[in-house]
Amino acid sequence: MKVNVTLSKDVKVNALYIFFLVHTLQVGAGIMTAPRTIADEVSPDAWAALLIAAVYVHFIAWIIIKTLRFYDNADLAGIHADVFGKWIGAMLTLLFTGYIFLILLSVMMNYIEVVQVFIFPSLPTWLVATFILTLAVYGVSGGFRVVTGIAFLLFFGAIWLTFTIAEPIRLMEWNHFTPILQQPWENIFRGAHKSVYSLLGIEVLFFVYPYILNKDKVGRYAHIAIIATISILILVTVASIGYFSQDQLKHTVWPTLSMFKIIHYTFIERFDFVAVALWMAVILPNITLFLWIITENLRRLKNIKPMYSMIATATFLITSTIIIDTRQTITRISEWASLAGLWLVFIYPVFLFLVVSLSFRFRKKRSSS
Amino acid sequence: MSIFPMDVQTYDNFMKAKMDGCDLKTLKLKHKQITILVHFISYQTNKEKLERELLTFLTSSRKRWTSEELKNTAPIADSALVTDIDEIISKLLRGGVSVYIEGSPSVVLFGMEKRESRALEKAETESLVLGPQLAFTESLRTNLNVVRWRIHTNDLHIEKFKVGKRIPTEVRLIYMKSLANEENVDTCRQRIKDLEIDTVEDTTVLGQMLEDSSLSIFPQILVTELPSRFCHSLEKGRIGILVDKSPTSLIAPMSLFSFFESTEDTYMRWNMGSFIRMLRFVAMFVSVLLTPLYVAALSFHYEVIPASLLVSLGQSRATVPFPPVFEALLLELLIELLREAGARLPTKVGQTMGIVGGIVLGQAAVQAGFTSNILIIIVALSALASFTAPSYLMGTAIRIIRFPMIILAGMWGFLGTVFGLCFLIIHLLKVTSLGRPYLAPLYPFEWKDLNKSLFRLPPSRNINRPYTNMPKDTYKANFDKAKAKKDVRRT
Repeated sequence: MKVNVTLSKDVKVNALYIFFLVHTLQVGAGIMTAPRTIADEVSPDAWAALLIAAVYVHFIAWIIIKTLRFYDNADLAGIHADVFGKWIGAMLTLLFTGYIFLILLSVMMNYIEVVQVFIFPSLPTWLVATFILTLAVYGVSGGFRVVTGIAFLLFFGAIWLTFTIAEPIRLMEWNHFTPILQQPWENIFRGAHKSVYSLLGIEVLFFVYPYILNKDKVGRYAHIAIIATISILILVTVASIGYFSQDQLKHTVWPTLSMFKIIHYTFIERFDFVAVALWMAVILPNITLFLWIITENLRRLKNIKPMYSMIATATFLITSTIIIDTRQTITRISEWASLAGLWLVFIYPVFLFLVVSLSFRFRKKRSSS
Repeated sequence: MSIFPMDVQTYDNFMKAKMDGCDLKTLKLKHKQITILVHFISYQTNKEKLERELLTFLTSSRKRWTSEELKNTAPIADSALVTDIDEIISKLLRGGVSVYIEGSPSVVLFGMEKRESRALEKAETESLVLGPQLAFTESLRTNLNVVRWRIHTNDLHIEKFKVGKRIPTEVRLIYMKSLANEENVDTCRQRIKDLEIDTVEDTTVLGQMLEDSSLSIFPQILVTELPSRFCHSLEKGRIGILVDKSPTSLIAPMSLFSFFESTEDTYMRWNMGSFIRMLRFVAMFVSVLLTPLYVAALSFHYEVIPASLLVSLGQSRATVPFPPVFEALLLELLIELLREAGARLPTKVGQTMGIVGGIVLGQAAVQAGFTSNILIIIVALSALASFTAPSYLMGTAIRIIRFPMIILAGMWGFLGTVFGLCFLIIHLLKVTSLGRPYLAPLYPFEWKDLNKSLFRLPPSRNINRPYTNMPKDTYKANFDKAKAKKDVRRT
C-alpha cells in the first residue's frame, strides 16, 4: 500500500472546510446528553471541566497535525502501514474503522431514540435508520466533495438553533453556579472525562488530511472548530445547569432538547418538535462523514470499491438497529464508543506521534550515516 | 475526380433524377451559342432577386460565359464554384441557385434563399418591466444579427456546427474569447461534436442532450429567449448556444442561483434589485415547504400549532372528510391543471378560464366541504411563489418537487419533510453544469461572488466578474475615479 495518497486536484477541497468537518463531527448526538453527564460530576463547575477538556483537545489536534506533517499526503492507513508494517498497520486501521462503525451506530441509535420519544413513539427504528442511511449513501456516492458540502451546508441549516438558547438563558437561576470552584479537582477531571463523547471527532483529521488543498492552514481551522464546539458545549451546559434544578437535570435524559420545550413563537407553539426533526441536519454530516471514512479506509486497505463497502455497511447498520432494541443496549454501545474514543482519539495519537517521530529520526540517521 | 465538364442534357437529366420530388425547376438559356442551365426550387429562392440580378445579368452580357467568369463578375455576394454533386443538392434545397455553363469544369452556386420568418417581437415567457424587451426569433440569421449588434467586437467568437445526420441543423457556439474559460468551451464543443443524432428539433432539445445529468429534475442549462440576458451572460464569461429554427438560446454553465437572477435585477437600482432577488429565494422556499409543513403539522403535530390558530384551522377543516395529505394533493393537482389548461388554450380564452376556473372551483370546493379555506390560501400562495422564478424550467422543477415533499410530509411529518430537504440538498451538491458545481458560489464557497448571486451591491463595489464561471479576466470595472462623485460648478 502506498503511504501517500495520490489524488487529482478536482477532488480536493480548501482548508476552510476543515472547520465544518471537525465542528459538525464534534457536535452530534453527544451534545444532546452532554449537560446531564457532565453536570452529574461537577454541577456548578461544569465550565471548568469543559475548559480543561478543551485544552486537551487542542493539544491532541496539534499532535495529530504534527504527525501528519511528517508526510506529504498521507492518511492514517498510510501512516500505520509506514511505521508498523503491512499487517500490524492494517490491524490498527481496522481497529479504527471498527471504532468509527461503533460511533456511527451509537450516534444514529441515539437520534432515533430521540425521534421516537419526542415525535413518533410508534415509528419503527429500522425505518428511520433507512432514512438516514439512504441519505448518507446517496451523499457518500458523490465522493468527498459532496460529503464536505453536506457538512458545510447543514452546518448553516442547524447553527441557528443555538440562538434559541437565549430564552432558557433568560430564565436561568444564577445561584446554581455557586459555590464557584469549590469542587474537588478529581471531580472536575471526571467531568472533563465525561465530556469526551461530545468532543470526539478530531480524529477526522487523520482521514481527510490528504484531501486538503492548502495544508498549511489545516491547523488554524481545526483549532477554530474546536473553539466553536467548546463554546457551544459550554453555552448549552451552563444554560441547562442554570435552567434546570440539580435534581431535575439528573432525570432529564436530553437536557439540550428539553430546553427547546419552553421556546415558542406566535406561529409555533412547541419548538421541540421542529428542533428534533431538524436535528437530522446535525446528525447527517456525522453519519455521512463516518460512512465515508469507513469506505475510504476499506478502499485504502483492500481496494474495495466504495459503492460495495458503503452498501454493505449500510445494510449491516440497518440490521443492527433491528437487533438492538432496548435503551440499555444503546447506552452500553454509547459507553463502549466513548471508551474506545477515549483511548483511540485522546491517548493513541500521542503514542503514534512518538512512534512516527522516532522512526523518522532513526531513518534520517541511517540515511546520513 | 471531377465529373465535369458534362453534356448539358445529361447533367439536366442527372439532376432531375437525383432531385425527384423536390420541385426542381430548370431554365435552359441560350447565350452566344452556349447552353446555360439554371436550377432552383421556386419557393425556396428569392425570385425577384433571381430575375433582376442573375438572369438579366446572364442574358444581357456580351461575353462568352465560363463558370469562372460568371462567379467573378456576377453582382451577388454569396457565390461559389462547386464540383461536388451532394453539395449542389444541399445548397439547392436550402434556396440556392445553380448555374451550369456548357463545357465548364464546375457549377456556379448562388445563395438566394428566401426565408419566411416573423419579425422581432416582445418577449412573452420572460417578460420584463424595465430594460430591453426584444426576444429571439426562429431565424438563426436574425438571432446572430441581434447578438452581433449587441456585442460588436471581434472578441465575440462564433463557432459553426452542423448537428444531425438526416436533417442537418445549424448550431452556433458563441462565447467571448477573452473571457470564457477554455475548459468550458472545450467541454461544450466536445459534447456537441459527440452527438450522433438524426436532427435537432429545438434548442431546448439540444440543451437536454448537452446537460450533465438527465436524471436530475433541475435544469442545468438555462433556456432563455432574451438576447439581453444571452449577451449579459456572455459578458460574464459563460457560453451561449444558438440553434437554427428555434426562438430560444442556451446558456451554460449555470448554477442554481443564477436561475433566479433576472436581468431586471441589474437594471434596477442595487438595493431594489437585491430585495427582489432575495424575495425570489424566499418564494422558492415558500413554494417548496409551505404545503408540506401544513400537511405535516395537521397530520401529526397538532401541538406545534398555537391554540388561537388551531381553533380557526379546526373550524375550517371540520367538514373536510379527507386526511390533509389527500386534501393538499387534490388542490395542488387542481392548480397544476389550471396552469396547464391556461398554457394550452389561446390567450383570450385562457385568462377567462383561469380566473373562472380558479375562483369557481376553489369556492365550490370549500363550500362542498372538500377542502379548507386555509389550505386554498396556502396552495395558492405556493403556486404564486413558484411563478416568480425567472426561468420557466426552474419554476416547473420547483412545482414538481412539491409533490414528493407533500407525500413525505403526509407519511412521516416533520421528519419526512426534513428528509426530503436533506435529500434535495445532497442532490444539489451532486449536480454539475458542464462539470462545474451547481451550488456555486455557496458551495464551493466563494465569498466575493455572493454579491453576484444572492444579492447585489452598488456599482462601485461590483468590480469583478463572477469567479464561479472561471473567466480568464475577472476584473470588470474601475471605479476609483467615479467613486468620488464630483459636481461641476461654474462660478
